[in-house]
Amino acid sequence: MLKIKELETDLKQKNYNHLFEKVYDHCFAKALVLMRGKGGNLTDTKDCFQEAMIDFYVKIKQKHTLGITKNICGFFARTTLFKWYKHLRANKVKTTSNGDDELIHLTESNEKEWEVFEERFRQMEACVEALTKTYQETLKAYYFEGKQVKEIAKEAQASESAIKVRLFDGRKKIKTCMGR
Amino acid sequence: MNQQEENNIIILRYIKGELGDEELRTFEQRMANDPEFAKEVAFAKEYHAFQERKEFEEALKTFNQEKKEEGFFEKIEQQIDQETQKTPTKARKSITKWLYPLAAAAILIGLVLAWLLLGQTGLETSEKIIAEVSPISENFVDERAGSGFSGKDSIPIEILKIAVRAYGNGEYKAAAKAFETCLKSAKTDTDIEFYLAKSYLLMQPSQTDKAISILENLSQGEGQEERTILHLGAAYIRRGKYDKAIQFLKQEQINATDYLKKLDNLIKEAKQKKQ
Repeated sequence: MLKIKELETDLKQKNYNHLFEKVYDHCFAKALVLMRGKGGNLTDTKDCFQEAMIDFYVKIKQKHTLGITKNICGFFARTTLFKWYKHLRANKVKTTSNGDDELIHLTESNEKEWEVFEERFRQMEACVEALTKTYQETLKAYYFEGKQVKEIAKEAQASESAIKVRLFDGRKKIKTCMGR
Repeated sequence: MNQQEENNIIILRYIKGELGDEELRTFEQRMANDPEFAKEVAFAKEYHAFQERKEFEEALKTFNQEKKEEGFFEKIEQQIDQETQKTPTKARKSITKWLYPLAAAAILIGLVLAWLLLGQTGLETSEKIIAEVSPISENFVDERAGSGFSGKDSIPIEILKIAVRAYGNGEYKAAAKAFETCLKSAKTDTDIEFYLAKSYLLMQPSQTDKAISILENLSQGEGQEERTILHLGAAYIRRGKYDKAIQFLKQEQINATDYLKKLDNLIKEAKQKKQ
């Protein structure tokens, strides 16, 4: 039986592959059956299941909990289906109304909150991608990997002052881009 | 190492939750007193969260690619196809489509006949579930009295025997009272809790709310059982809580396998009664 606590631990310890193996092995088939019942195919399920995995990640990171203690595959199957409905609605395809209103009602309130985080993330992504590759690498090495300026300079075969300039400018550009 | 680099190191430790209590207090005080430092922390925090998620997404993408190359997804689809071939959905759908008018007429006739023959005694799915007595296993008391059972020291075995005997004899009021006493000592025995709820349901409809309260607790626990889900759904319907029944059963339907049909029937019943 898939345990939520174990998944949370894998996520915290960044054992991503271990986490994915468990979730896909236990829950993908369930999501596929559900999706096929609602007109989705294998490719749709793969895409939406991937989105459900990201949803899982965001919820744990933001709230430190999924808010459920059981039925973890139910969460993935429902979220996959909800993502599917969202795509259909975005493409103005009518969904069947055979009781799915309840499902939408159950997940929609969470979805609004999710979209706020999502928008913020996409904005940051656009701002970072607008920087040159050298700037991106420098910022990542310093702010994410925790490397020191001296170390980064050595690896990048640049002077320490050049690295400091990249850090200062890079941060400033992102802040401006993010509207701060 | 200059001041800015020292800041960066301590900020990263803060983000990763690596600061000790004392360090954390000092860090938070510094954030409160130094707006520039607080801005630096806010930026680092958001940037770190972004990179971490990117890392997660990239790992997920790679994993999916590897699985695709392994043929994992196709294998799952084939397995599902093989299972569904036993009861092919399309064929069933087309038969159902043609047989709808006939089936509707047959059901109507059946209902009229059932009403004529059975009058008010014809039971609906929910009441059938409630009326089906879930027998207590022969070893139920022995398991709790014998070694190895976690609650053996706290369950009053003699009272449990009385409860099981009364339940078996259909004396549900006495059974409920005895089960309640047992639970005062062993609060975590899910089987006893279930049989207490079942006794309430079988005793009289006015006791349904008590059963609902127990079953709701049981349904929150890990490894909940089909019997809990079905009885809770049925109890909601009995109390006229049709929306709640539909919402609850729908959630569970996704995980259901062999008892799916019973769940489907309960949902249908709740919807019909709601209308």
